[in-house]
Amino acid sequence: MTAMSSSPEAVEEAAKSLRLANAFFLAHLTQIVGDMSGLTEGDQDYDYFIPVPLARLHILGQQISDLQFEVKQRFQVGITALPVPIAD
Amino acid sequence: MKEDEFLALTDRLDNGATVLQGGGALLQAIARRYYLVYAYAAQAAEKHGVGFRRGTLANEDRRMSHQVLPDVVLALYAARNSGPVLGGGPGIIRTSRLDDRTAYRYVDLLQKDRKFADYGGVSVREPYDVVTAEERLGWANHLVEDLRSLI
Repeated sequence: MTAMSSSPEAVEEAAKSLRLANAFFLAHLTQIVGDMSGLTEGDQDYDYFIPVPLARLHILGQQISDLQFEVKQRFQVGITALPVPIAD
Repeated sequence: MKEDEFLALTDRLDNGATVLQGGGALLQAIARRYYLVYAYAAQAAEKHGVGFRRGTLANEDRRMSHQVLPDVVLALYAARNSGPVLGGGPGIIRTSRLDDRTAYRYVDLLQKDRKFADYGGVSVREPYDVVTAEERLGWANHLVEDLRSLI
């Protein structure tokens, strides 16, 4: 996750934005993928990994990217998830 | 990057993608098209002085990275800051094929495909059927067409 800030007040505001953005992201990710039981912490590139059926990778990936964009626009925070395809 | 080096690079990537696609290596072809998008975006960012917020990426060599490419593309399309990227250039939303939301989506997804192609993470050799792969290759072409207008 990335949020741009420097002063103590800005850091506090960024922390608040991160919490709100993360809650928004996860709530909407649940609506997209349905089953969140496979959600795991990501790596240096992505905040989360989320398993998706291989046959739905094309469609769900687009919805997840649109969600990332929505969070970026709404909260000025970057949160990313990599959909990991699993065999159907 | 110097113009002749840039042209040689983009020709190589373009030809490579075409050969891979013709041989049925669709995911690898998508990855080469992604690299083509990266090359055009990096060249446009350099030309238009796209910068980065101080302190976000300390290593000079890591300023322009694959991970930050979606933000770079957003900054180029909309001529505004995005994440750690400070926008530059005239913007291309009014004249481009894609709006900034769609451009972000395409870059983000092509980059994820590139990682699947380069690092694995998919249980099958080709995660997309031919029609879907061609759609994704088309995304890269749309991005290149737009970004080319900035160079």
